[in-house]
Amino acid sequence: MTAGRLISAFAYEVAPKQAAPYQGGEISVTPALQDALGRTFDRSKIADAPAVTFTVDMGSPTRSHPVRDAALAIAFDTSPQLALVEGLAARLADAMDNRSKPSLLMMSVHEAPTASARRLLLWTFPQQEVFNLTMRGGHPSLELLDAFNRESNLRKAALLEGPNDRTGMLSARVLDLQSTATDRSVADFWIVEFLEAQMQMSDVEGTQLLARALRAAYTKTKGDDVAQEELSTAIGALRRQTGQRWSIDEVATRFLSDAAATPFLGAVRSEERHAAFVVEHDRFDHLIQYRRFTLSNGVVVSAPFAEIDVPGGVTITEQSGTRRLQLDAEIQEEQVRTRA
Amino acid sequence: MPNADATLRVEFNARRPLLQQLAATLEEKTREALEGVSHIDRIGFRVKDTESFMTKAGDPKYTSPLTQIEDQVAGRVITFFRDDIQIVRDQITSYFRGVEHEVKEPENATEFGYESDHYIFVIAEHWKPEGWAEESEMPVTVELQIRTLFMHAWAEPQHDIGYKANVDRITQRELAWIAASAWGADHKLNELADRFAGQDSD
Repeated sequence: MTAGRLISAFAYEVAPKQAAPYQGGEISVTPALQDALGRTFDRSKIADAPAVTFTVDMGSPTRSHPVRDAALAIAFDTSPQLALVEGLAARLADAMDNRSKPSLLMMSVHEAPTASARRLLLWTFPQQEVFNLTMRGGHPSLELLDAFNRESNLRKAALLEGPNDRTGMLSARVLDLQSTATDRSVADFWIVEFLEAQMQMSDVEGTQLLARALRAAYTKTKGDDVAQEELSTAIGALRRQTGQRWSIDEVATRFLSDAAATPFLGAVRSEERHAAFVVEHDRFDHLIQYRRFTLSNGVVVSAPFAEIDVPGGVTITEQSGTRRLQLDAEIQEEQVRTRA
Repeated sequence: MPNADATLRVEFNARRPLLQQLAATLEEKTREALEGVSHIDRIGFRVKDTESFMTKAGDPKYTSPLTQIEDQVAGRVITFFRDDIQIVRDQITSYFRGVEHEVKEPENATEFGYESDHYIFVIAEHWKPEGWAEESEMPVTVELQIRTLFMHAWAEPQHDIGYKANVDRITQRELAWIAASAWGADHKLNELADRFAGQDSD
């Protein structure tokens, strides 16, 4: 997918909490600009980036939303565009953290494959210091400049596409390498604060999917102690993480080798592997619940994950190549059961 | 425009397999979203039948019916009691990304008729079956209705009868009476459920 023919473009410099006026305006559409934006679009791979849905007013007949409304009006040129773009610049300034450096807010409108639709790209490129080497009178001169870096890891983008009606531009593809940051104010700045959107995979759905995939992988790796230990480590680590966004792919990459990753990834549809979500701990614990150990003497120990490898809980140690389980706790209840 | 209609019919029929796959995924997701919720009579999703789609597409307000008609894939959750509707709303909206919610009921307090919750949800990228992206003008939203057994008991048969031509006054009165009876039964059943809530069942 390419960006599509450039129709119009706007750029503004925005500093945190800055009030209007903003420096910038509409940029002339030239082949060089089209080419530069096209390459930035291609390299960013935003067309395959995670998807978000705008948190629209569900009672409004037009599905009103500040960013979506502005995007539709800018893309289809139905209202004075500069006022709308400056409105988005003000929104960005408000969402930016005081510690942030100024950013370049860029917006470009492109043709979409469907004639009735338009494509709108929103970018923020952070200001960074760069060197500029020049030759003057045969002598090199090195200057330190402030420039907006289009390859920065701190850049953000949103790709909206659709017709100018109730179904248009309800969702966006979002590029934000900080959305998985543990600091929520950093992670939420672009998607939650500025775009006022939610990841398309809800935390509930993601947590259920993750638990189901882990359980399926655990069952399928029966007899493979290494793979099962990796899965247990992943479960333990995910239970301790707070606020970080994960995808099924990221869990596999971070915690699992091939033997555990293959059944884990095989338990979800390929379309579901990249979607990001936050693990809901209570739900995750409820869905994962217990780890079951069968010991060499026939004793079966079923332990809640919360009680494994914590003081006073079940302790697993490795001695001479065998894994051993230790537990010392008061019996509160016992049942006589058939061995089913 | 007979030619345009024929083309639209062909295009809609060609995408039905993709819509059916989406309907199956959504049904599975809805069941997952409502796991552990009591008093659910049934959950189902369907793809709009071609004749019904073509009739709706004939409305001039739809300039791009393949995208703009939002109930091409639609689902329904039917609960036992009225109070369960709020529980279902909470679960569903924490799972799906909604863009519209309307509580449908007669405007006039002295009227009895159709009652149901209608939601419009965005089709998440990760629910779209393989091949979806290769098609143009695919729908971006789906509809979900939430209602009680008694709301449904009135709505479905009356949809069949009430939309027929030449419904005379006495038939209309009878339908209104059935709606009022269903409304009364629905409220009374909810009261009984409230009264016995928390009591152990044998």
